[in-house]
Amino acid sequence: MPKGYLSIVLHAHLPYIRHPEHTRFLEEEWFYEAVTETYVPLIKVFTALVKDGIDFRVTMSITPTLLSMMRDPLLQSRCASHLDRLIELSKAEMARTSGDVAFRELARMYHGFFVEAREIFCGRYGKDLTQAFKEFQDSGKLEIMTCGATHGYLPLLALPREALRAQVRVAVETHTRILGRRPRGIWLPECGYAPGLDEVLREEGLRFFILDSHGILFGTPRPKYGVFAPVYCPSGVAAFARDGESSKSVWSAKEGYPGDSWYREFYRDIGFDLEYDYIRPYLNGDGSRIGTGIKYYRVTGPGFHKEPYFPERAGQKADEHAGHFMFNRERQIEYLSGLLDRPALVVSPYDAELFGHWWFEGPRWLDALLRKIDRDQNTFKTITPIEYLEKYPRNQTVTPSMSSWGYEGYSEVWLNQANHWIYRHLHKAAERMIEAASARPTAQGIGKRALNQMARELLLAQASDWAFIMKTGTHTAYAVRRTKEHLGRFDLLRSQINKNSIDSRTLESIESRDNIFPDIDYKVYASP
Amino acid sequence: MRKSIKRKSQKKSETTRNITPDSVEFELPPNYGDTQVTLLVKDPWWLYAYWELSGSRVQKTVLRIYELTGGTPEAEPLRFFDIQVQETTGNWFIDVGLPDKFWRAEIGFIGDGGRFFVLARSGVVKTPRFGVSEAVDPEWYFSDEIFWKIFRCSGGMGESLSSHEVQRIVVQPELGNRPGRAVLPRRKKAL
Repeated sequence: MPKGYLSIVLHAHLPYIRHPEHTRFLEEEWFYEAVTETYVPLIKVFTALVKDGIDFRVTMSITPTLLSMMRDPLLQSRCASHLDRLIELSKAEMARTSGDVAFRELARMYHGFFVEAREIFCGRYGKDLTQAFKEFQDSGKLEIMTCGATHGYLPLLALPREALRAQVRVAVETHTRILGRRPRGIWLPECGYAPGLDEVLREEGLRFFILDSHGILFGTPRPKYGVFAPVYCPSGVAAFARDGESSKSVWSAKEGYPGDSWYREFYRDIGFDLEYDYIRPYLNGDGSRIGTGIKYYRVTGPGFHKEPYFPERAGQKADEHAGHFMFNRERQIEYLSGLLDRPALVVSPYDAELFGHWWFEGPRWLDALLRKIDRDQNTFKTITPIEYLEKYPRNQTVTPSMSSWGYEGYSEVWLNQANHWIYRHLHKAAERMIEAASARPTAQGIGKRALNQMARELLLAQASDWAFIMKTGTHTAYAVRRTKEHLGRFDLLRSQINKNSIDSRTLESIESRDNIFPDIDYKVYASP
Repeated sequence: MRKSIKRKSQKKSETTRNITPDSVEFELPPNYGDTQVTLLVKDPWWLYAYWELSGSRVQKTVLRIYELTGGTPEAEPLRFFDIQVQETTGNWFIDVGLPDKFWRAEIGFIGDGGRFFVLARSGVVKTPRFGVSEAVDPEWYFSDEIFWKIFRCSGGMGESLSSHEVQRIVVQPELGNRPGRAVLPRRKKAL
């Protein structure tokens, strides 16, 4: 009998970015980079663990926008082209560095990495990575949660309630359609919670979600087990809290593993370092320098001077850090077992894209960690939230406190001087969507298509990513444009519907552009 | 109602029917012709209000913020304060400074005799608690001593302590039970 459990949760999300009108588009590349550097490497880790008979559990949220992008034929084929370009670039790099002892092995490593990624992406999974994640889900190793349909930050969208319900219901439907199983849990976008929101989750058949620590710690009444056991909200939906200590060891910029001097340096990329004419064919359409994914240096230290990357040493470091993490969880859980009258649950959520994309060695760390947990100790086991609930169905009822996992723990990131202006328009659009849907409960033909498209535009406008990007200050113009475009298309369709003059060419054009959620039903917005 | 979609280079002859998503730059309308005020919660100490007033500009526009006795429709105002505002379409970040309280906003104007005329009223919102609840469920009870040890391990002392450090600290009585004085665990994204 283990003394406790660990739930590793990886939140995989990208906003819906798809620009058929451009041959290459800067922000669209986020998806290709994440496929190459995070999703395929995670699939490699899970594949190897299963093959080697390792008993492990991981929980992931794969957001409906990301699932939709993984399934989109245009993005799939562009992703294959992206991998082809990287293979070509790595070949050029092997030739360029052939006389350079430090770099030629690295160029060869990247070449192998990209070739393997292409084989997995195109060969094994026919460009559809949802198949891979579904496999691990069906084998019981991976619990996949859903998220808000477009990652809308729910505490600020909860006006009116139908807007909230649509984010959740469309998510559940998309998840079920693509992964073949209803989700049991939901990653609330940015862990954004406000009391009462759980009612909607229950209505949509969801059984659990995850909060930041203070969401539970500051709940009412005080939670007996702190963050080390789930609580039931008054609705009966279970809330799990993030453990700060285990999160910190990975997240913290200061003490976290990813900052180790032997790990690969993210910001030194040949896209910035090499001669422009040589690298130009591999840059984006406008020719501005961007990261290519080929990076030859290690973190080294805080200064500008960087030493060449040494993959073997970095791999050893990842193994050491996995051992360190496991050791600390053993100590943590042993200590807690002296306090609690039941096995403690430690929930450690991370952004999935940290693993591989930002922290190149992250997938190796995860692989080593899960092997060690299975083979080298008996203090704790990995578990999914739903398995824990099945083992321990009796839990305290607590109303969690409004919270998020953003900076300062509340809504500041999504509501500040840089982005507050969006809410007036988002709320108005939601109100108008509800009016339009409620007034036309039986729309058919082109009218129904226009209403469905209005619903897509509203959901896309609600993505928390736009507010987040406006706050962080890079790619701001794009985030503003996306917000305005979706609200604009929404308004255009609404005015055509109201005038009874829907232009089929316009509608088709918008449908083909914003083609997410093909089976959406606008009536999700109809007032009951 | 203002038209919310305008061509960048205005051509009067063009109708909505000819506008494609590619050919326009969308501009949001400055207002919607409503008279309303909406209140949102930013964090335990701050609210945010946005409003618009249709019709002619009123003098001495006031955003009045009430603290209420509860969250139900019958809740009574406990007290209020006024913010003088200029714009008929505007917004304000409001420093209420009080976690765990109920709030409502009204937008209106002060008449000649000093009387407040309400033009629109918001829904009720609540600032979240900032600290551990004093309510204890007897069925789910640990002594204060154990609870505060668990609380510290839960990250309730801020992000800088590991469980080893917490273990050391909790044996020091001067750092013992201090209900309600919690340090918020902060997460600064490494990305």
